[in-house]
Amino acid sequence: MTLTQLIKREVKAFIKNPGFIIGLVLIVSVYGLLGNITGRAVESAMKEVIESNVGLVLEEKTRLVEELVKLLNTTMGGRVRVYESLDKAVSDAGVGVVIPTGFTENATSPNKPIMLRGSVKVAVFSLTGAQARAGLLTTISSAVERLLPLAISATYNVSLQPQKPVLVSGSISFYNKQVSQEEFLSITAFTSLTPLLVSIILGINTTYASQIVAIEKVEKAFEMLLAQPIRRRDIVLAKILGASIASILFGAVYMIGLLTMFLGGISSTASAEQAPPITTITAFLGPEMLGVIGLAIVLGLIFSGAIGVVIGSLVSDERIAGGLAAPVMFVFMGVGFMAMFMGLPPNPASAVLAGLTIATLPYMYAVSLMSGETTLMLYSIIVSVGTCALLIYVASAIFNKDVIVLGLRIPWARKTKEKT
Amino acid sequence: MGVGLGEQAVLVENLVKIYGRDSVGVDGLSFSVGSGEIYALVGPNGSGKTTTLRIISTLIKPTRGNVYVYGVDVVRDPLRVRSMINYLPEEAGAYRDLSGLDFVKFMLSLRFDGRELEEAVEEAVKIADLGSYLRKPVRTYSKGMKRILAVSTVLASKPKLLILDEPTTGLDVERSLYVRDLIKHYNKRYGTTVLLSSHNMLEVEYLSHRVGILYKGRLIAEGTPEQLKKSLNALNLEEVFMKMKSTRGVVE
Ligand SMILES: Nc1ncnc2c1ncn2[C@@H]1O[C@H](COP(=O)(O)OP(=O)(O)OP(=O)(O)O)[C@@H](O)[C@H]1O
Ligand SMILES: [Mg+2]
Repeated sequence: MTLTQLIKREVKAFIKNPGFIIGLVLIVSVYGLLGNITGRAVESAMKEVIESNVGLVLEEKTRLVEELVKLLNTTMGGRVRVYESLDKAVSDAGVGVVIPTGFTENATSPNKPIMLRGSVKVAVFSLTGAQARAGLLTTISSAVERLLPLAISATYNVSLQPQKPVLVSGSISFYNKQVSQEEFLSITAFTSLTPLLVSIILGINTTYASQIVAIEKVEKAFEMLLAQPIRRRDIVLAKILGASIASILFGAVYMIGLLTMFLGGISSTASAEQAPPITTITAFLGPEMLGVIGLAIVLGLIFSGAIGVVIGSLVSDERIAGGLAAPVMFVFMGVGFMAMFMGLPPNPASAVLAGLTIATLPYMYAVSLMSGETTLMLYSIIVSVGTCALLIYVASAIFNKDVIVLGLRIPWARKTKEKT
Repeated sequence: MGVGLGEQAVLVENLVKIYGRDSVGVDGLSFSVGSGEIYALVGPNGSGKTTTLRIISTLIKPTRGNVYVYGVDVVRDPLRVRSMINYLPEEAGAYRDLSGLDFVKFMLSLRFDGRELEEAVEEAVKIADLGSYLRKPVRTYSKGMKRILAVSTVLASKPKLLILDEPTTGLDVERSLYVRDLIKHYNKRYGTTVLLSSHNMLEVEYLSHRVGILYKGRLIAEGTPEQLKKSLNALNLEEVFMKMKSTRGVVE
């Protein structure tokens, strides 16, 4: 009996918590928007893959090869084009596979491996989009694997042959640089995962900062503090920095945890001769990448800290602050996810978007570096610094308003409070 | 400091504070507090005492009207006003995780440094008189202990103007008397101007040079305790308060 009363009270308090409700609305609308954007991006990437032509380079023109090409063209809906060189195939069709000299011999004699060479053009940094393109090579090799027995039996008029494995060694033409598949995966995984990791730290920071402000209000020391001869902006900066230091500690521990988790996994599976991913990354993106990540974290902490301070200063207690900060954290993470799915093209709009979200700065850096449009990164940094300055200004302005003492008055929330 | 006797420490002109559509905090309030004076605002719950004190302390802004502290506009130059005042809020807590001593040190470090800070902290510690509790976290304090901690912090900062919202609520009889004497002492010794609010008429009569009676955000009477008692033919301020309230009730 009493338990139901207690539960009722807790549930009621939560449902009536304006932070909780605004948070729900925020999550639904932002994730809806992000889902829409990434969904469209993934769809167009897939469509591009499905619709793209397949370039073949025939180093050998035997009857078997001709038969195979015919079959391939039929199964792929007439999208097969034959080119003189792999480079031409890649630049024109986007993907090219070489049927090498000796293919026929290898195909018809047992115990000889069949190896194809291939290359695919990738000019997008989205993990899903890029993987879909990289997957094109395997799609072609497995089609060859399936069709080869048919081609052999048709050419030599023999009964059906058993399938032989067909392997493809592919390289990727990534923004016109040749990289191996492993290198490509390291780079895209790194650049798309970094924003997510940064955004987690920023999300935590918003929570910390909003709690710092809200708890101070609840402790009732706030009014006395506000009457002291100090600039309100200094109070705001102190809170942002305080939260940031806590978040950096959290982030460091979090990264150590992640690294031990991954390294534990890698040491048992990875072979010794494989280059560690980090050297690949510094080789392609330069050691400056680490500096950019550092910059993104510093700017991001100011950004998310200021948002947290704004949340904390508008609410009256930490219950509402928590209800609001949690979904904001998920919004940050959503932005991180977005970079993973949606390849930002190297244009000024992307630069501004990256500048506004800050967590995606390392991603934007990689895009601008690989595409050679380095001024874009400059735009991004200018936008981020401006955003941070604006947020600090907004937070300080709120600290100079009545709302910092009285809390935000939401008409419907007040009505429900009066009823209880 | 260049403050002559009789200069106005606080000047409030036609102050209006509207919180929301149906919530008026103060409704056309005018009064002034002379430098070196102890002025008490009294009035029923919700009459606008806290609202007035918060505006003078630069915590919230007036909807209309002007407020000056030693001639400085509280809206135009709040930082300068804050450097001349200190404010004891109605509900003054302290950081739960700090010890009482650390809280005092922190608050005073926003005003003083070096030798001055040490002296101020020493003074606050002496006033608070919390013994070994001073080194324990504030979350272990009783309500009255928290109150005396806040009072001592504010007093030890020795501002030109002390703004105290119900300074002795929550304090036991002995501590209340002690705090009243302290306020009197600081006023005499350092010439500190004091603007306070209170529901304790004994306290008001004991402390204040002048009293303003607030009712629904307006000043309905003002004067020395003697003048007020005389004009209403009352024995004490409590009677004054009740008489004022009942006549108002009839009028409105
Ligand atoms: N944050 C607020 N939002 C809306 N109305 C408010 C707010 N604070 C105060 N009020 C209203 O302003 C009026 C004056 O309140 P105030 O707190 O100044 O009274 P008070 O004289 O200090 O009362 P008490 O003796 O109970 O402390 C009241 O009617 C109150 O309802
Ligand atoms: Mg009050």
